Amino acid sequence: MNAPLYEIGAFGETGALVFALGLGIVFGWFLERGGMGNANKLAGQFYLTDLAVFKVMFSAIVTTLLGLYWLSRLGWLDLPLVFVPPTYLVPQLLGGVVFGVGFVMGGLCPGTSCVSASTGRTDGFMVVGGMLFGVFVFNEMFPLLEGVYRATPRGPLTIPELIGVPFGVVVFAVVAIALVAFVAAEKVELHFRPAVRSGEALGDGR
Amino acid sequence: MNPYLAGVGIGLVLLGAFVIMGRGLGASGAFSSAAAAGMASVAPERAATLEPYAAYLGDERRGPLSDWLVIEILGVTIGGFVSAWGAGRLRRGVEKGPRVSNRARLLYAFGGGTIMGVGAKLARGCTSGQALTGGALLSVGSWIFIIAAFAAAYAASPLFRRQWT
Amino acid sequence: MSRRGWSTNRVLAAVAGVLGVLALVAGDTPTPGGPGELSALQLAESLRADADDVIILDVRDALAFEEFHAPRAVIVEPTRSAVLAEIEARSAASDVLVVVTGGPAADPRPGWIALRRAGYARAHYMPDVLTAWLDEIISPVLSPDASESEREAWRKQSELSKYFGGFPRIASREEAVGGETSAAKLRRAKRRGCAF
Repeated sequence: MNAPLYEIGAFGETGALVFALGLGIVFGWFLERGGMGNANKLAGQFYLTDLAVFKVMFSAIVTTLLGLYWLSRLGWLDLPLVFVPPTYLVPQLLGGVVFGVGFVMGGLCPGTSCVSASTGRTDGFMVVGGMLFGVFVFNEMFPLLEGVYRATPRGPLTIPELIGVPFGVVVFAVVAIALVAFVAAEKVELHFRPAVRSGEALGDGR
Repeated sequence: MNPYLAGVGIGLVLLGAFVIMGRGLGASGAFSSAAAAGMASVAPERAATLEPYAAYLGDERRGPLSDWLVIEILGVTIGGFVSAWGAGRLRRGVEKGPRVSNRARLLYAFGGGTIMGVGAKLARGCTSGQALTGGALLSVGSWIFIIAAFAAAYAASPLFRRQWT
Repeated sequence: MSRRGWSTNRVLAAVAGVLGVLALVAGDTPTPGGPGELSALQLAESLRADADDVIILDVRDALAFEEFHAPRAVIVEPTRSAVLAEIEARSAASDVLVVVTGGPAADPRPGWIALRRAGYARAHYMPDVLTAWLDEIISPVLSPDASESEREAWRKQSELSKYFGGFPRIASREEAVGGETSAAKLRRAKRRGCAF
């Protein structure tokens, strides 16, 4: 076991910030290359003309999941030490619903709005500004929302723990679902993508 | 770039964050830090007493992690800029469908951002912190967030069709 | 879509598929994040079973510690080295139950990680000891619509609650669920003369 490196004191806080910058740059680079800085492309997800959001997100999740499982299985990563965001059932359900409406309305999510803004798009700047305002609104309303915000805490609960199935079995299931869903996504796109736009939608970065 | 390859790239970055830092990536946390810093400069007392601000005002109690997200998002903007520059996609403009004015699109963008801000605070994360990071960790709450967010976005999509198509 | 695009996709799918199928048969590995967090209920059970076998290290500041702390908890500085020094000063066995308790302003995880790495296999943490103890031990509430199995668990919990001086109760149907903040609960518990 020699990871997570920060948790075993391999480097200090300055080192952590250097890694933050480096990981952020590569993250932003791949987001832009995947077309995730473009609100038109993102919105295509919700009108089934371009499922890039789904493909990028789900293949990222599958990649990380396989990496986590195998690094842990080979003894290189101490998984119990990895920070799992705590589950709060009701606020995450409600927050998800609210977030989803804002996502299709704004056409960008918080991370991709930064990419959109830095590549010159004014709508990206407006989403960034809206996010800041939304955080302000939430914080000012916090005394009212605190009850809901703290409701139904379940701690760092994961699906294998919830259903009592070994981690590896859930990994297999997620990979299997992803592969089937990717094939389906290609078919859905062929069906809904307007013929005149197909070349344009593919034309990024080739 | 092939979207699956971009996804694998993002997945490896996220895996790197877990291996190096023991935690994943995020975006909305950086907005929380920015809002807290803004409030602290305008009304320091309110920022120090209202918990959602106070929790993001950096001090030694919470360690470097709130700074970590801000620097990471700074990296995202740099990385996005460099990528678009290299591919010739840097362009001033507004992304929208052909049927709406720029002004309408910008209002929608601000409104959508505001709604997402509230939702991300309530859910304790956004597409990066909950969907990607929590999703890859198989967190139950994160998968609830993913399903709720996409279901709501599809349900609301007819309201905004004019903006995009 | 070009032929090259498809072949890239097929290679990626094949790699993911092989690694996924192997994960099914390669055996078990710990789940992310688990099992580190302890509930107040689990802590209370262990304390009642054998309090001498439990060490509770509270990393919150003195003010929060005085307002409330778990029974037999001791206060330590919120650093890895302080937590390790405290446990080593007691020359505790490595199979003792050690619980690092924290709060909104004090993260117990660094101390917990230090303990795990030092070989304390039964080290756990509680991210917010005050809220957890109030909700689960001092004033646990049973929903009036609880199922039979929930009522069975409730009997155990309310017995444990009374043992630690709590006030278990069954909610009325009109009552709003989850509307009370921890500060309000603490005030209510103190009004009732509940001594911590």
